[in-house]
Amino acid sequence: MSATLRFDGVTVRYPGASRNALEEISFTVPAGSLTAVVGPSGCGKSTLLRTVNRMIEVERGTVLLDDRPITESDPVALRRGIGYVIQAIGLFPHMTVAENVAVVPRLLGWEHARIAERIDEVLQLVRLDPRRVRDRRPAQLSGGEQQRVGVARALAAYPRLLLMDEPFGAVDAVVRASLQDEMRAIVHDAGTTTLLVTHDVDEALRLADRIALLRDGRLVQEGTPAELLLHPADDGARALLNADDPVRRLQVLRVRDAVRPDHTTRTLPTIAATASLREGLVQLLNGAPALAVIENGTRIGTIDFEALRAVLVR
Amino acid sequence: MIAEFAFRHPERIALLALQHIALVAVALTVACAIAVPLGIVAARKPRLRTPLLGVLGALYTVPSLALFAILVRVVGLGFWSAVPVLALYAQFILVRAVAAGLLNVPAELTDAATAMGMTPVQRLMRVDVPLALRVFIAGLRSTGVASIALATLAAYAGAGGLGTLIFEGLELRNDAMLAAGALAVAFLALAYDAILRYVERRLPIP
Repeated sequence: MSATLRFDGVTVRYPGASRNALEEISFTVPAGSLTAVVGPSGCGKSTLLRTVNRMIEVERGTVLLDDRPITESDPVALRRGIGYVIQAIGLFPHMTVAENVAVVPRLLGWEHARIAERIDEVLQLVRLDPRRVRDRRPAQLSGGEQQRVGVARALAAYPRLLLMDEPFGAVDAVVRASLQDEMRAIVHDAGTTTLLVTHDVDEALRLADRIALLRDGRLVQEGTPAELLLHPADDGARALLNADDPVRRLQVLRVRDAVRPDHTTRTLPTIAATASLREGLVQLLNGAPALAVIENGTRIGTIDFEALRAVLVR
Repeated sequence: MIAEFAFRHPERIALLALQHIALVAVALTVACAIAVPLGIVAARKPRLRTPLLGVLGALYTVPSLALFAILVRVVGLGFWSAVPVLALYAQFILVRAVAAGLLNVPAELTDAATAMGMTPVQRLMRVDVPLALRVFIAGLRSTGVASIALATLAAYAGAGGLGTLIFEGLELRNDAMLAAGALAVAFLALAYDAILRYVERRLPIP
């Protein structure tokens, strides 16, 4: 159900601009993944997002959803199949929460009963109590709650793809981190392919399965957070990602990224390959000499302080 | 003295007041039918906005009595010579109100509406119009009050209304009659203002 999104040589030029807003962007957002587009302001990341629902038309190149160029479908129909969450949340102030969530289902002509059922379901999905919030207006909710409603609205009609443009920009810093973690879980539960635009590198590293780094309208690098931190494409990417900071690496890298082959069979405490390095460090600090790394039920090697140091410090 | 006049001629005052209300109601309906499309054009086409509002502003400065006189020449005496004048004067404020209301709708909301798959017409009906309503109603309130006042001159065009009492009172040097007419007009204007204020408060927009 979730779509694969592919950019193939996407080039955008604004009328009267001296250079292209986007230049030959090519990469793939795998089905069901959350990919973050990161870069300094003016790098073209929002423009890239808006080519996907044809709010901006590309000059050259193609955007493909499940290998079908999006230009083959009518923009209005295309947009109804793509969830959209924007920076200022963009909830309609004259509608109740339920009416906001129902916008796309209504546009699609769903039956009344099905819409009512889906409103409650999707509000629960974003961890809001439908009975409490359904009939309220957005202004009566907190910023974090409004953000959840925004996500609920985007997910209401089972979109093939979710676009998020700086979705946490309007949320204050105190709730942002916990909301980000929750949104990651919600989007993963929904299984919807997600393209998220942010200027916040921490946010991207925290949320994304894959990151596309943009600068001056060009794609600098695309890969997993670990790939970007361990092998930044250039000094600019290294600086933007703060890739050499050991604490950042500790938070982002997985045990798998530090594992070393071990040919002995000594008995050791175990740790999952997908665990964060931070968890590994905590266990080592608690006195284990080394940890056996387990992936898919088999022991693939070990980690110790030396192995951690090797990936944390360049 | 005024009360005495009113007590002696209640049915006459009531009839003229009804005429007055009918005249303003018809004129405002016609005015809205013209102003809403014009306002949408003014909001959507920045290049047309300035000339359009300029022309309406210029028309607004034409003395109303002169306009009545011209229309009486063209249409003859009666109801329908007064309606166009009132409708025309209402344009300046109404078109501005429609345009300002639409331009006031936050760009991120119209953007979200389009990105969610609304057609331009759906966007207009479900997002733009409800959100522009408050500014539009405020314009309708001020233009309506002005129309109620202006409609007293309609008596001069033979369209009846409470202005009849004022003109007759002037001619007959009957101050009670004149004052009764003026007070009735003021009362109508205040009542209209209060009703629209109530409507504005009931709108579901923050």
